[in-house]
Amino acid sequence: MSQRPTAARQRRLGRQIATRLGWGALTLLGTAALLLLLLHLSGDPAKAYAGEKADEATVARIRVQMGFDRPLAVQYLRYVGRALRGDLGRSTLYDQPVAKLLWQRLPATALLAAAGLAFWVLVGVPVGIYTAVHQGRAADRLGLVVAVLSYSIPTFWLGRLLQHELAWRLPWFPVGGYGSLAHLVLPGLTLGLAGVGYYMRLVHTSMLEVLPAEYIRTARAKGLSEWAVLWHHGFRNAMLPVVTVLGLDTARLLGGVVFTEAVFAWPGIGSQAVQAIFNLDQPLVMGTVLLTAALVVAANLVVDVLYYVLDPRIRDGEERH
Amino acid sequence: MLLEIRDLAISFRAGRTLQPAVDGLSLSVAAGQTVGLVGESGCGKTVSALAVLGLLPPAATVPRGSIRFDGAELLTATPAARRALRGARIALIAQDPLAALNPVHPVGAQVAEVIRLHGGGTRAAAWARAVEALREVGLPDPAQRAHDYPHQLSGGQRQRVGIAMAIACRPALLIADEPTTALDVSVQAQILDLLRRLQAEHRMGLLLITHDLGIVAELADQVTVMRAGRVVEQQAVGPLFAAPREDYTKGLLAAVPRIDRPVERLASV
Repeated sequence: MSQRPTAARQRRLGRQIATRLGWGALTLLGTAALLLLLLHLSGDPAKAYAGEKADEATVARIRVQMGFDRPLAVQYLRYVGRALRGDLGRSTLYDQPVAKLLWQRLPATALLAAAGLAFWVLVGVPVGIYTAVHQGRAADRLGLVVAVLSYSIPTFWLGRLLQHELAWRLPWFPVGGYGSLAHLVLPGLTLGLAGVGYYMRLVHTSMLEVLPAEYIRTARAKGLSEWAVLWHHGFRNAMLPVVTVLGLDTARLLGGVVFTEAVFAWPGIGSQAVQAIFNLDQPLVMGTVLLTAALVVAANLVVDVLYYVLDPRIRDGEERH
Repeated sequence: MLLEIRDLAISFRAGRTLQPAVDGLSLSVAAGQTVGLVGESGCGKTVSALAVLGLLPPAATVPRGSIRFDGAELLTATPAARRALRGARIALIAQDPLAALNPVHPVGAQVAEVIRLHGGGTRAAAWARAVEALREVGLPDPAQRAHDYPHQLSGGQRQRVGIAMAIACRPALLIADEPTTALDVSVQAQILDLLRRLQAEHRMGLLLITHDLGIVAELADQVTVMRAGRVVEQQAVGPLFAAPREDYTKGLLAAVPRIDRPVERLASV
């Protein structure tokens, strides 16, 4: 109830961010440990690097060279020490620094991710609002069917279908590859269609919670247009859960859009990760997964800050109503 | 006559049947007059008010009746025409000020919104007039508090914001739906004083919906008592309290706890 508690607010936000960063660092350390253990159990990276036909002596030499002969704890500490200086090791498959490989592939993945996210928001939000307002009517039922189809059709199948129809039967777009806007259409559409159903229903449910609120009636009693009521008073309150999911999805996508990239030979982090896994490229797999983990930690932080901006009650440290 | 309701009926679709909620309500409100609409919860008071505003839920239908505002029929008016009246000429004060204010917008912006919608003008001008409206309803330090969010205000302050929002465009008719029910008793009196003062200053018609006969006795000129969607009794406030004609009204009056008499049990209606 105090006047403008700006200083207190800023202190609280600073404390929260610091705590979050601390937990984020612990999460990354834990992820790295778990990954190293899993990769250790899944095969001999030295053998994979040397190739099928290499003799024992060569494999043993490589093992020592790459440090795979050391105890796991030592490997872990060395890895963490290097990672802190930006060195994620060398890919055994490409024989290049992992950080460089990830950095090279990031723009393609970011472009595809942006296309998918834009589709989700630009289609999912209006459709979700519309079906919530027309709850129980034909449009709502149709929307539900489309949403269920959207999240139950496998991405690789949808990608192949679009390839077949729009690149082969009707040669409108390239079958795959990267380089022009036309190349982006089919993978973007695949990713967009596969995820949009979730957003349609998320916005729908969230709007249904907000619409019976009394402040919506107040907005109507002011004489506002239905559009202004739904957008400025309705969605403005219904958007918090959408922001959360959108933040985490952004992180997930930037860490590689595995299926879509693989189907369309999109040179992103996801298709590279598939190659890394098939070839037991331990440093590259570790680097890719750790990148995703770091992005998720960062996205969580961004979402928290956005909450702070979007909901004044959280600014004052209140529970959400 | 400012507001004239004639033989209004409102029903709700429930599956295939129609459930009557209001059956044959007639009442009128003149400029500067306060009309109390009294009854138990569920008797059709709020639904009648929503019908005047044109905010009935989709499941409601109006099989017959007439609502005239300033001589013009509202029930057959276009949605756009009704929207132009809402907030500008007919305004609503809601029961629960916390629920009725949007939690994510500053209170000043919520008042400025209605001013800008009906009056036009710049954002800055609307904000300045919103601060003026907040001052008029007695919000302390209105220039500062206009930036606050609803959760930062007390219950009484929130209701003052709700009233500022309602009177900002100088409406001719104010509909107050249980305006003090959600407030502390000490705050109730202040809010009632404020309503009385604003109404006298601006000669507004006030349709006061309440179950509280004490409030009716203090503010209303005319009283309409409703029960189960029908009008039970309609009188000027003096005679109604002095000599209620209907048994139901007598029961309602008897159920009000008295401060000057010890009571063993509270009477039921």
